[in-house]
Amino acid sequence: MNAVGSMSPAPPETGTPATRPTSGGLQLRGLVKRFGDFTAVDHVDLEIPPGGFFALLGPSGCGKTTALRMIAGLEFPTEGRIFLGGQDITGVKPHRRPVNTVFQSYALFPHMSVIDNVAFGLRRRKVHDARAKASQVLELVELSHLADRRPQQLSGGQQQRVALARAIVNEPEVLLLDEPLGALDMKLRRQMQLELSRIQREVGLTFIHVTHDQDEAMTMADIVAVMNEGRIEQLGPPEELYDQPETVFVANFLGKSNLIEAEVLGEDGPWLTIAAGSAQARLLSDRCVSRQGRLLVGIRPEKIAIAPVGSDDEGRHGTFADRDGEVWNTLAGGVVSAMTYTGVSTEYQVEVPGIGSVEVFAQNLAGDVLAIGDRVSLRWRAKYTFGLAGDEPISAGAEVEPG
Amino acid sequence: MSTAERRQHSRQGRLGYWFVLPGFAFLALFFALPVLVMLATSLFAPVPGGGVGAFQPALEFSNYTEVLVLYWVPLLRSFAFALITTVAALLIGYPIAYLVAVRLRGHRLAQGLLLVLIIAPFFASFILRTQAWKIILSDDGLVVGALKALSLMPPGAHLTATAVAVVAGMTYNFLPFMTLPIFANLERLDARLIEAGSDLYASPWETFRKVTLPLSMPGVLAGTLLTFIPAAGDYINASLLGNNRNTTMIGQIIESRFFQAADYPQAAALAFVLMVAILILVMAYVRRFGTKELL
Ligand SMILES: Nc1ncnc2c1ncn2[C@@H]1O[C@H](COP(=O)(O)OP(=O)(O)OP(=O)(O)O)[C@@H](O)[C@H]1O
Ligand SMILES: [Mg+2]
Repeated sequence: MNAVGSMSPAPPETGTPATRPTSGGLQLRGLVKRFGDFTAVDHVDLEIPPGGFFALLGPSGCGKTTALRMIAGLEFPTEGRIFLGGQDITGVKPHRRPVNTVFQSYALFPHMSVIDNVAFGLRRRKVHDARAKASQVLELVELSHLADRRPQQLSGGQQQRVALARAIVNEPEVLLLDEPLGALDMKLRRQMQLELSRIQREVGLTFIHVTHDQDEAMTMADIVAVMNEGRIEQLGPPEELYDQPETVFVANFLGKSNLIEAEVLGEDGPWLTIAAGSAQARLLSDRCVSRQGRLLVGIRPEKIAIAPVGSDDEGRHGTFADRDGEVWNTLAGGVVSAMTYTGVSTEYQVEVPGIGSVEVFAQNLAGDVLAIGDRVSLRWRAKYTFGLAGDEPISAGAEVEPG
Repeated sequence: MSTAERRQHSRQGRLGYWFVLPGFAFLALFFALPVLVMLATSLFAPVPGGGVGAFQPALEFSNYTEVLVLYWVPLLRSFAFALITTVAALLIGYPIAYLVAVRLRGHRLAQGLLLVLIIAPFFASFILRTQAWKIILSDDGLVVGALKALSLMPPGAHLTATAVAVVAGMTYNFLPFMTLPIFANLERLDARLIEAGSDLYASPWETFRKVTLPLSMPGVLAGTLLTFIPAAGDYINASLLGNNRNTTMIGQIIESRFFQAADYPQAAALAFVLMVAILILVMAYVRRFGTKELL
């Protein structure tokens, strides 16, 4: 590991102090890629532990493929360094990197049969029994019966599975998957997701999975990074990302969020008191990016309980603590303006005077569904509230098409 | 699909046939007919007591055995020269095509310039170009002078009037026929496949051998055919750069039999032999290399 420094000139350090990479895993340090004066990847710092399942989630054109291409060695970074297992591989040729890619465009060799495609990498490395190993992996992706076909004689989904097999068979230290399941139908997709997770656990490879499907990212990955305009917006375990988004983009891109403009009034122990329109609410200050000034206060739609006016909450405003000491935020005087019944749950749009439109997902437990025009009050556990920087555009990431 | 729909469908398909009709008519008139005339002429017999160039229709099959016995050496030599020319043109043309199509991909200006250079020889007449070669290769020319100065050539040796000069001239003259089809093919090569190769542990050379080269075989096939066929029948390079003794090619013989000896049946018989021989060779070649690699 001491060799790191001597292998190449010192990286153009960008902000972070020059720490030595820890052993194993993949590290990106201050990675930048510019095409002309367009910055596709903008100072990305990542640390992916060995054997992890890492998902890169972001809208189309945010630089996911470009980032993967730099890891694979197909694109040379404008700035920054890449380390694998403690070795600086920034300048290493792609064919010498223990990294394989499942390309977004599959890039199967049209002049070779499926089995020869899969065995290609093994043969280049003079692996013994290449054909037998390739057959095994073909079995894994359920394509044994098509081994002798040419790729162009396969359906899109089948081609995708060949591409997957062609990469997995090499058991690389890092497997890069660029939307590998995009062309599959729902059933096959689920099946392949399970397969991928199983393969990843069994062989202990590091997977970097690029996807536009947030469910896929959330269910499969240990760590999810949300990318936007070349930068990593936030990174963490899926629950953490969902529970406590740190930017408006993440709050809107990963699931849905109600975001309300608010002003900090004061601090009280762990709590911040905020004012939004005529209402007041509380949130934990450590779930908030700043402790003063303007904020965007967020709450997930399914965290909100909706109750018709007339029940025991009627007239209760602001914040209160219940018998168990649980702190609740309440918005009263709402009117249901739209609703979508989905069977398991109902999605309500509630107009709250002075606040605006609030989205609520209610599970249909008892079956008493509210109607448009009903007067309602809303409440949620204050600890679920999160606070974001007030100067961000409130709809960032809400309208973008996932890529 | 209903019967009506199917009929409609096939009628649309049949429309295309009308467009090839003029082409067929043209070929029938200017290719099939001359070949038949040539075939007939090759069997003509001299008019008894007639002068030079007087022949009459007959079925004189001995014309063929006669020309084969007389001219099998130049015939074989033609194919040997054509083969060497094709290989040389491939060795020179492929790297050029690869450079322009793959390496310079995206550099439109450089690509355009090099393409013009490749085609540039076509701007001058074939005979003029070959004549220029004669001057370049002549005993007091630059090449011979340089080679002799470097002691790479014995003092008394020549380059003009040798087999080397003929093959070199043909290689030069037919190079664009080799380069352009390969370029057209490599131009369409999906660069992502090359990336996939390098991602899968293939060195640049292995990627070339296992991916690029096999995928460019249709271009190589077209280029070698377009070079070999005219080279086998060529007579200009051989007569301008050769020596009329051990460089004589079959095209020269046909030309002299026709224009100088006015022996039309022999010229026709030779031309027909050449045509059939090329056809057989080409078919064998395409069968061997064509179907497997053509996608
Ligand atoms: N070779 C290139 N030259 C110029 N711009 C490029 C090049 N490659 C990518 N870009 C640009 O960089 C940005 C990021 O591209 P990239 O392919 O990484 O996006 P992505 O996140 O993978 O998108 P998608 O989800 O649609 O695949 C895009 O705006 C793209 O136009
Ligand atoms: Mg992409």
